[in-house]
Amino acid sequence: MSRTRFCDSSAVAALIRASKAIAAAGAQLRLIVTAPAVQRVLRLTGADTILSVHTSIADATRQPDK
Amino acid sequence: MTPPPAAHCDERDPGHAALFYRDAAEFSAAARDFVRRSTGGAALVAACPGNLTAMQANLDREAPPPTLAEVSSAGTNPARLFGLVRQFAADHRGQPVSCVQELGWSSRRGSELTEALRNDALIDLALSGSDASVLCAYDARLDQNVLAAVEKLHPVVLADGQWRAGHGYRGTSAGGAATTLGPLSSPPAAAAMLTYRTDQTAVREFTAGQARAAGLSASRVTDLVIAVAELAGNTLDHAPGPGVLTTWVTPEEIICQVEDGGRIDDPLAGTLRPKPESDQRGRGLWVVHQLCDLVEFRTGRAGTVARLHMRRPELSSRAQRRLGSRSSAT
Repeated sequence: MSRTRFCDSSAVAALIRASKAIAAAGAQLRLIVTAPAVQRVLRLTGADTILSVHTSIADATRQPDK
Repeated sequence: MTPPPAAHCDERDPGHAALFYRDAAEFSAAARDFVRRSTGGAALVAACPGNLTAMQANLDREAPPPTLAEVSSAGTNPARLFGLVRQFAADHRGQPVSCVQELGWSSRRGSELTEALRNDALIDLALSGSDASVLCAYDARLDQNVLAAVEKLHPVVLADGQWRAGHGYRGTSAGGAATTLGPLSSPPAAAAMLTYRTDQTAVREFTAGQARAAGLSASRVTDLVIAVAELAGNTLDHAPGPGVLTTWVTPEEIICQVEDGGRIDDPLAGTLRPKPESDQRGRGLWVVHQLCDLVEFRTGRAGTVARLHMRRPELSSRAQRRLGSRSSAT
């Protein structure tokens, strides 16, 4: 999501849904989030504790699964 | 001080009481006695720093201490304290819970007090199904009209060290909550307006521009933009017709008003933290309350008005920043 400059809380629901569907298929969704507004919404809703959120591709590929 | 006599209690609502306190000593003594009632359960005391400090010095040594929360860190937005109390009761469902919440301190602004009173009127609805007692504390030096409104919301009142029935207590009903809300003032003629039908980008850019001009910091600009976008998103998803965004500033605040033809039927909407793992929508109003310093909703057949308040930085620090940028430019 590094090109996403903004999202609201309805996007959080969509991301959680996507994450569950991807997990059910045996994979993991990892997000790259750089915009302050997107980071703020994910943190405020606690979605950052559910989703795998990173600030760069390097960070997202380096870290092991949560 | 003895607990409220049973005869004074409304049997549907045995545990919703008001405290009129004159100082921190009176507050802390009353709060300590009140939380003693929930022996074997859980207790929460949310208050201003001075009253909390007095409370800490006044705790029972032998009893487990209550959870303490500072109302200013829970936010001056009354909806956040309301959410804290709701969450505490929900987290301790099945055991006796007692909560002391300071709602009216003497310097609290009128618009915040109005919302705090509205939430006070909704507490029975919010806590129905839990074994909770709530003591709502108000400074006895508040305006007489405020204190009279508080009396009407509580079957029992503790004032001057004595428990008595609330004067004019009208029973618990959603109607009681509605009657504490007067109409909002009209926006000033000089307010800036934007009508939106589909374009969220224009709403965000407009809000950001107004917020920056009002002197908000970058992170507070982001917060206000998110809050307005949540409401504008609700307009596009749920309301018939367009929405209107109106903004203006006062010396203390920037105000963004979002108006549309939609309706909010649940008076408790947005006050309980949604579960982080939920894949359902419905986080928007809660998010708005977390981001803004005060949110006023008026909803009815004609539609909904949401008025968001954000405090501006102190004038002196704004002036200093302007001076600073001028001197760095030369």
